[in-house]
Amino acid sequence: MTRIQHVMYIDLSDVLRPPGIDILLVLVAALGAILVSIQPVTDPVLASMLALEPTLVALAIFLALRGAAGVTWLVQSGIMHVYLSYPMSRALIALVLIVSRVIIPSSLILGVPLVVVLILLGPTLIGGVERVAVTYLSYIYQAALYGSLFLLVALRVKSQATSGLLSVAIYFTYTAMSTILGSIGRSIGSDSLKMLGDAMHLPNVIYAVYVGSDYDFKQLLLVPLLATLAVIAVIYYMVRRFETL
Amino acid sequence: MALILEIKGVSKRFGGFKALDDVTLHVARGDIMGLLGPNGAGKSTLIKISLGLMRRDSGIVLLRGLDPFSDPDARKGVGVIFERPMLPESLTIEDFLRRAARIYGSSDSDVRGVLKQLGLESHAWKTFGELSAGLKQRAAIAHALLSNPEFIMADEPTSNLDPVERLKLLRLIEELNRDHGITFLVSSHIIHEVSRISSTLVVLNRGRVIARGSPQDLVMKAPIARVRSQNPEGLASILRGEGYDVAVEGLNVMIRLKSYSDNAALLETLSRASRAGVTVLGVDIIGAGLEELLRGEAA
Repeated sequence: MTRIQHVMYIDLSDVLRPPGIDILLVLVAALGAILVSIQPVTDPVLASMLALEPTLVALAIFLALRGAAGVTWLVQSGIMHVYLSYPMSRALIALVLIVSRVIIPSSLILGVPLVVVLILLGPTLIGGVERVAVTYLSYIYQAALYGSLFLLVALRVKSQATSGLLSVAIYFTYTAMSTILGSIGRSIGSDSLKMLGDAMHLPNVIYAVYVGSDYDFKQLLLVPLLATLAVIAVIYYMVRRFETL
Repeated sequence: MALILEIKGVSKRFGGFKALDDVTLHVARGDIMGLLGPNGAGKSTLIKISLGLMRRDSGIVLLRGLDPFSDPDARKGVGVIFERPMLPESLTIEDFLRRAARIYGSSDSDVRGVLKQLGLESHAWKTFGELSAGLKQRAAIAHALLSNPEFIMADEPTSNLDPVERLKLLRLIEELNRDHGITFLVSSHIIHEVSRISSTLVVLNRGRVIARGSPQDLVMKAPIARVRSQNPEGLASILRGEGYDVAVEGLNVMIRLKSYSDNAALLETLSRASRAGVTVLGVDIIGAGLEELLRGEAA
């Protein structure tokens, strides 16, 4: 294993420490099972979205409280001193934080309900496994966008309570904007506003692609582009501006 | 003289507060430098800037000839012990140290070695949070030693320790310096602790270097006479009348001397005070404390 993997292992052991993650996994698995059981679903994308949509809300809160606010705890407790005192570049440390506090938890928390759905609706999902994989990936991108923004806030404010609150506020503002823009677009007949509102939630665009609704190719790029910019912003901030307490 | 750390004209502000003001110091290889100063003097900030954990507003920092903020290679072979020792609490000490050893390029046998050296073998299965303050400090030292260090920066390493542990730690620093040639920068606000192990002392106050030199030079610079008396206020009044810089602490009267050669004149004054009815119970000539060094700056 390389240096970066060892630091990631150390950081992941904090992010994934029980009981928080265990309880969340049981909850999202149960929720996914209930939601796909109480209504008849035959479409693999819709089945996946039924389980993943509420999971994304829980995941966003986890990323805000355990992922990002956890980073402020690293800073306040002095563990960030330890990470930064290793002979590794700040860019690599930022990358470790993004992977261990955003990408891996997102993959895990979104993956567990999908496995449950696969067990319950095996034939439905296996029939469209590539569509399920793309849907899953779209949720990962969406989570990466939220998680990276939360991480940036946490590195900037260095306060657990403030970063937790700001992160939750950012999440709800973003999702509200997405809904409001879409609604305004539909009510006033503005395609561009409607498209922008829909594009802010990548799984909606993926669903539109698979059910054959109208969509613009650019809609597929918005969230991945924003997520990439957020990741770059985290790395840039860590390399150029971040200081420990 | 090969330098391992060069700090030239470094300044750092936190909003309106000037934490470091044009600080210049050099740490030579093989040296133990004591960085003295009261709380808030800028010691921790200086150490963090020296490691590249913080940006400086101006000046030059070269750690092993490299800028530690932009070049991570500067931290190769540099161990660090922070004031509040903190290591991840989600892993056992042994597991964490094994990971850290691999990050530093050390082996599992090195981990066993430092666990044994620091008496942590029987605690290796515990997490960091389960250790006592002294053991936490030892774990932090073990972590620093795994970096195969040629240089260790220790920020108030004795601050959480009892007197026995303090002594052990100071001995360990001396041993590591003597037997392994490890260079140390040790910050503290307790002059007697660092002066017993350091070859060079730098005194920092309000972000500025106010004195530097060998411990002997600095301590000799401002000797203090501690006179015990049944009437300290009366004695202090007599001494003030003779032009001495005096402070009363309980039954002790602390007198700041200009040099050790002032002893004779002081003893004559005390003799006169005694004849005037002020009982003198005993006299000690002691080295300067941090407070005296700082008062020296103010004077």
